[in-house]
Parts: sequence; structure tokens; C-alpha cells
Amino acid sequence: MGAVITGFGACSPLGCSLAESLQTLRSGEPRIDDIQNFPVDGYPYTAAGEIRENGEVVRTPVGVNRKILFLERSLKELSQATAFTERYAPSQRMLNLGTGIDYFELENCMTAEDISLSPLLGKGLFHNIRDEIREVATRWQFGAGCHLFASACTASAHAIGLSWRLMKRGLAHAVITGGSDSMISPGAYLGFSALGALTRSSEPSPVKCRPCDLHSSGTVLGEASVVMLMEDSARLSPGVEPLAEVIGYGSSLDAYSVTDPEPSGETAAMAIQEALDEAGLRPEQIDCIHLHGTGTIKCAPAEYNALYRVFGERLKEIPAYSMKGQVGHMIGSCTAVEMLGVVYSLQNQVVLPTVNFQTPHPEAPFRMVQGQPLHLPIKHILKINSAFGGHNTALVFKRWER
Amino acid sequence: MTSLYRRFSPEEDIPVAGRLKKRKLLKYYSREAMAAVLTAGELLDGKSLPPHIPFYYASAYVENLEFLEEVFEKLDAYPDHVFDAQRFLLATPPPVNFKMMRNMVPCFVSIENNLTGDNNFIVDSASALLYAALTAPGEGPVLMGAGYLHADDSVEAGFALVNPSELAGHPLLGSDAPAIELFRQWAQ
Repeated sequence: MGAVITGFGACSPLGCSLAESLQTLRSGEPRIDDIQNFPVDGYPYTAAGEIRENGEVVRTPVGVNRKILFLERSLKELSQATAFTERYAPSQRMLNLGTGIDYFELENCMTAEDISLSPLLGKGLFHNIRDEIREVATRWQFGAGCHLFASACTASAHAIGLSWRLMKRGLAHAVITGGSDSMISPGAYLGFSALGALTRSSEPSPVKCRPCDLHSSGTVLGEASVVMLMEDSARLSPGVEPLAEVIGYGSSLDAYSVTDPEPSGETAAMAIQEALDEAGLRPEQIDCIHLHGTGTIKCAPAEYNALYRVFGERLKEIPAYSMKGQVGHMIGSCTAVEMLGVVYSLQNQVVLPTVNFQTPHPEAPFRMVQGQPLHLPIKHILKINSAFGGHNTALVFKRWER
Repeated sequence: MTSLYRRFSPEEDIPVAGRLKKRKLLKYYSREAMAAVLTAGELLDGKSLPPHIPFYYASAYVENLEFLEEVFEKLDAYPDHVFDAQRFLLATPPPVNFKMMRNMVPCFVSIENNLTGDNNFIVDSASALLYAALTAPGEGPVLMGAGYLHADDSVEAGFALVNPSELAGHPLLGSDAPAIELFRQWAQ
């Protein structure tokens, strides 16, 4: 059997539908800007990739978790696109989702008379992601299980990877997987900024995030909810044309640092090799690489070193791409939203230019595409991600062929 | 299967400091992290693990947010009760941020035990933990772990070295049960 992706629901800075998202990817239009969702006076950093609708940033009412708001919308789009609620009984539906941290609505907490923990917990201003997503799963009748993953920036890769393994072993019929995360709240944004990974660039917000560039200085946070339907290719309904086939997955841990990647790339390379082995591919069969590419100073050299261990000198010839220059870093949903780039490459046989990439980094001399999309035959794509905590993931995708 | 389950009462000291290779990280440890690192260490003491053994960990819903109490006290001290970014940053020392990042617990366990293999970090689900272990790559054993920090500051931790074939058809697959329930059952 093969595990194929047959539909998406997408809410991200790229747009609030799959079609709009792919169009924005094609345009290369930057979707990072100054934060609109809350006042940023006195903030050390003010850029983000926020979700917009009709050009306006989507605002969240008091007491509403943005992760949940956008998850509901993306599930609705996926349902309309794939009819999964009609095609699969509740007992066959599994939800495997990457997500992020619980959080307080701090700005709303501050108006309370008593700003101490116990009374605030009772005011609905604390968002417990486990319970809130389980409520969504109950409404959508995911009877085969609701499984959440929170390994920071690899959470949705872990969700997608496990889903693939379950399909491959015949342990799942239909999995809705992906990720939903938003760091666009004062507490999450400021807390993350204190970890030192955000850009200190004084450039305008749309050009602050520069993946793999010599002048990269940090990442920019964002938000996205992207879900996809993974099905057994042998059981597809007539007329369903998969968007991509998942053929390999691997993961590893650095066991090195809480925030920094292991610089030699040794452990990240293990994940990449495992994914290739699972796919039954040799390195020379990979046509392009979709990077983690955060724009942080340590990310690109570590990614390069890991990939070099697997691909050797050929790495300098393989076209590479990072989506984060255009939309920012979605943390718990970053692999899920970056899957849209994978699908775009497979469907259109192009590698897109990396937005804001200008000057090659001598310690990470990737073949980044600049200016115009690079057209080439693409059969296999390697997608890699890594996270605070030392998690590394690699997924291999194949263009669907009957 | 070899498993170890520990429960620490609210006031109980968790004697993890003496066994840490990277003691400077201790300031970032929650009580769950202390219990997990100690329990994993005790389970693995004297054992020769396969290189790159898979490691899957699940953390329960964080009932205990006591580490945020100090932040709120500091914010409450400003009489105007207006949210201010600089005040928040002053009130929030770095360890608070690391305690909010839940995957720090398996990170600390991995650093202390040099675990570099296949992995996953799961939110509070026995089912997901079982599925991760059942589909692990390779033929050898896997290391499974779970932690649960309760509102009263008591904490549970469980770890097990398991052959995935022992988990096939487990009754908690597909359930909403917390991951720590597996280790409670295995301890009986």
C-alpha cells in the first residue's frame, strides 16, 4: 500500500484556502508585516506572519484560542474538498496533529481585579490546548483517536511521520494530520522572543526573515493551521487524484543542547538517512530539498552540515528552498504549512525562489533559487525540519503516479 | 519488558541533582523534568542500550502552573493593571519560558542518557505513545516514558524498555487515557 495526500485545508499567512495559498506561493508576495493583532508599543520585536482575510488580519475575540479558530476553518475546507466525513465512518477517522504551547491571554488578564493564578484560571483566559483540540475532535467525530504532538518546530512533522507509519502498517484507514499553532499572542510572542531566536534586523518587516542568507539574523514568528487527508492509495475513490505520496520518514535527537542545533549535523543526518532508507532511495534520487530554513544564525550551517553528510558535494547542485522568508516560522505547524510548498513543487515541477534570500552564506552554500522559479523534473522531494529540544525530522515525498 | 514507575508527594525532594551530567540545566527543570530524568536514569542504570534506541515520551496536561505565580505577582504590583511588554519581560525570567516549552522534559532525558534515535513528544495520550512505539523503526527495544505533574505539586513518572511486539492490541490504543496510565498498570 501507499500513503497519499488527497486534500488540504489551509489557514496561514498565505491565505485561508488551499487555492489562495498556492497562488500566494506562486506570487512570492511577502506575508510578514508589522503585528496588527495586538498593540506592540514597547515590544523588542514587532514583525509576524499573521493570518489575513480579504487583506485584514483576522482578530480573535476575548476567550477564543487562535489555534482552534483556524483549525476549525481548515477542517471545514478539508471536509468540503475531500468529503472525508462521508467517506469514512467515525471509527475510521484519526486526528494526528502538531501543536504548540498552552497560553494565557495576558492582555485580558491584566484587566482583572485580582491578577493571581487561581482566579485567572477560572475566567477562560487560559487556553489548554489538549482539552480544546479534543473538543474539536469530538465535534468532528475522530473515533479512531485524537493524538497531539508538541515537539516545538517538529511537532507537525512528527504528526505527519507517525501518520505515515500507521498507514504503512495498516493501523489506520484515514488520518487527518498536519498542525495548528499560533504564536501571535503577547505572552507567547514575548516568551519566545526571550529565547533569543527572533531577528534583530532593523529592516522593514517584510524583509526581516532571510533564510540561509549571509545576513540572516533571526526568525520571525507566525501562525498557521494546515490539515491534510492521508489515505491508502489502494482504496482511493474513483476520480480522486492524490497531491503527493509520502514514501519515507525519519527522526533523531541531538542530545546536545536545549536550544542550539548540534553543529556538526551528525544526528540530523541520521534522520535524513533513515527517511531515504525507508523510501528505498539513494541520495542522488532526490530532486530538490525543502529546508527548515528559519533565518536564525545557527540554523543554516547546521542544516548544511547534516545534508552534506548524506549528499556530499552534490548538495551544492541540488535546488533548495525555504518558505519561512515569505511567511515566518509557524513553530508547531511549520512542517504542515511547508507541505503546501512541497505540493506546489510536485504539481508544477518547479522550485520556488526563497523570499529574501540574496547573499549566499559561506558556511551553508546551498543552491538557493533566486528571482524566477526553477523548472526541472521533480519526482522526489526531501523535507527537513528541526526544533528546540534537539528534534530532527525528515520526510520524503514522491510525485503521484498511477 | 522492564519498567519503573515513581510517584513523588507534593513536598518530597526529587534527588536528581547528584546524577546530572549537565547540572547547569537544572534551573530549567520543572518537577516533571526532575522526576523523569531521575526515573529514566534509575531504569537505565547499568544497562547497555542499543545505539540510537528509539525514545518516545508523553507529558500530561500541565495542571500545575505554579511557576507562573511569581510572574503574575510581579504584574499585579503595578497599580494601573495595564499590560506592558517591558514589565512582562522583567517579570519573566528565562526558566519560566523553558517550563512552558513542554518538550524540554524529553530533551533533558535525551541529554542525560545520550538518546539520539527515533523519537516523538506526545501530549498526554497513552494511545499516541503506544502507536509511536508500535511503529518504531528497526527490530529492537524502544524506550517509552511519561510524566504527570499534578496541581498539588505531586508528580508521577514512568519509563519502560519495551519490545514493540508486546504492545500489539493494547486496550488503550485509540483511547483518551493519559499516558501515565500505562506505567501505573505496568507497575502493578
